[in-house]
Amino acid sequence: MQDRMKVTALQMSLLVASLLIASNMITMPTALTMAAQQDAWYAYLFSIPYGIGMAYIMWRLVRSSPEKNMYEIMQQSLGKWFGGLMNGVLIAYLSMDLITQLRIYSDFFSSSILLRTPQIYILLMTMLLLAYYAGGSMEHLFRTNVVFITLFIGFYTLTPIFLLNEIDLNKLQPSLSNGVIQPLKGGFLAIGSFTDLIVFGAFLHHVRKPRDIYIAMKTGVIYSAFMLTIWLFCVVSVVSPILSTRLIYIGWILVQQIHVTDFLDRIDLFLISLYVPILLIKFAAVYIAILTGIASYTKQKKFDFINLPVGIVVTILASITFNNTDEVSQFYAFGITPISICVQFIFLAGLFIGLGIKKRKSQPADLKVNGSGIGVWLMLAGGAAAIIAGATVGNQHGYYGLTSACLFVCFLLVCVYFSMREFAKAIGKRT
Amino acid sequence: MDIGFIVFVIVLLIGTAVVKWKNMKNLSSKMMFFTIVGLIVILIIICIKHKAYSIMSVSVIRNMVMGLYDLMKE
Repeated sequence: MQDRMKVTALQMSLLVASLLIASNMITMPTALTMAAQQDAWYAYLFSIPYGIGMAYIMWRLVRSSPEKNMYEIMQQSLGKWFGGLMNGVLIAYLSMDLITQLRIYSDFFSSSILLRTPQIYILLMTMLLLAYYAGGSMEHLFRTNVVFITLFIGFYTLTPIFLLNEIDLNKLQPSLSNGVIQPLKGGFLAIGSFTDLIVFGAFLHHVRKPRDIYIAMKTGVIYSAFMLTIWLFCVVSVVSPILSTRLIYIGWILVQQIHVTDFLDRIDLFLISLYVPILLIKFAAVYIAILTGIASYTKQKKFDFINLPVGIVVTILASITFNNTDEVSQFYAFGITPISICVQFIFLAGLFIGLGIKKRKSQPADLKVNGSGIGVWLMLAGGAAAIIAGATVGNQHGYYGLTSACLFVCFLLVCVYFSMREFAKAIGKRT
Repeated sequence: MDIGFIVFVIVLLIGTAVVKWKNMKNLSSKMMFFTIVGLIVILIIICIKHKAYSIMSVSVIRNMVMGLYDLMKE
């Protein structure tokens, strides 16, 4: 149900982490290692500026039209018919995204865990769970997410320590020896995997203060990129870049490599039980965003009566839209990126043109840039410079690539630190 | 498509219509509901005979995906 409850910056930041981390852990490393080979773990640095840009856009939207979500702002700025058409484009894109990800999830369960259950029932049960969540308030989803994502981040950040006896740093070498094109190719695919952030547009009416969404999304994006970098580092250094291009569910294979002791041989089962709720929370967020969009066409602005029917449509489409797992994983890795970039460009350009045409009174600045904010950008520039410098001279001597890799890690760690500090300062000032 | 699934879907739709009918206060809500139900019926009818309609069989989508795949693999 579309409610007007408010959520905190911390809850928003953690939902960003849920949206970005879990869904990019299982199949995405396959595409990234295919594009960038041993340099795949640099890819997520390039998606951070995109994520911060999206956070900035959301902040501007909340400032211009408080208490409204993106669909309402679109209809307000471009009118009922053209605004409705643009909303329809975004709803179609989000539906395609949800269908693709649901199919990957159900294929994974069909082939790994529930081997004898028909796929349509896995999809239907998942969809009923999402419909249950969509029937409640958005605050329930945010609160549930806080519990699960905290545990999830806690355990998955420790993955390199669990895998310490399996990590072989030689698999990361020669680092940055194939030029700058390889990390850039990986970066392009990584940007595509962060395009789910537009979902936040459907939840803009839950934001307390405009600056909250900017700070929350920025911190969430940087931390998510950091987590995914750790994950890709483990994939490349444990499984090897060549083998990981040939495995579809590489994330599942990676957690199966954890052998801490003979007694803790099946830690993967424990980790997967944390992974699934996060993935379902992400699906629920995308599903609620779709329902909110469809409800914007009716006068009553509530979607409880279309909740189950839309869920059934999504279930059937997820079942019939792809022939096999190869198709869906290829479409998710290589097809969603250009589609999402095109759709988001058209949608956001239309939105800002519509808002720009309408004259508005000037608004006071509510986002003061502090030292930590500048520090984040400096560290990002440093990380990019380390990659470019390493890629330029990395083919001359292995030592250069190694030095660049160490510098990249340092810049990324300090970037995460600065973003956390900025978040703490912003929250501290308000309280 | 599985017959059990189709029966389950019909039960769910009838149940939703009965329970949520009071919440559909205006014509646009009722039209929205029946449009989605119509879409489900069409999807079920066309899926009974054919197993799958892959999005990758659309030539534009296939060319786009495979083009990017080849570009990344080079």
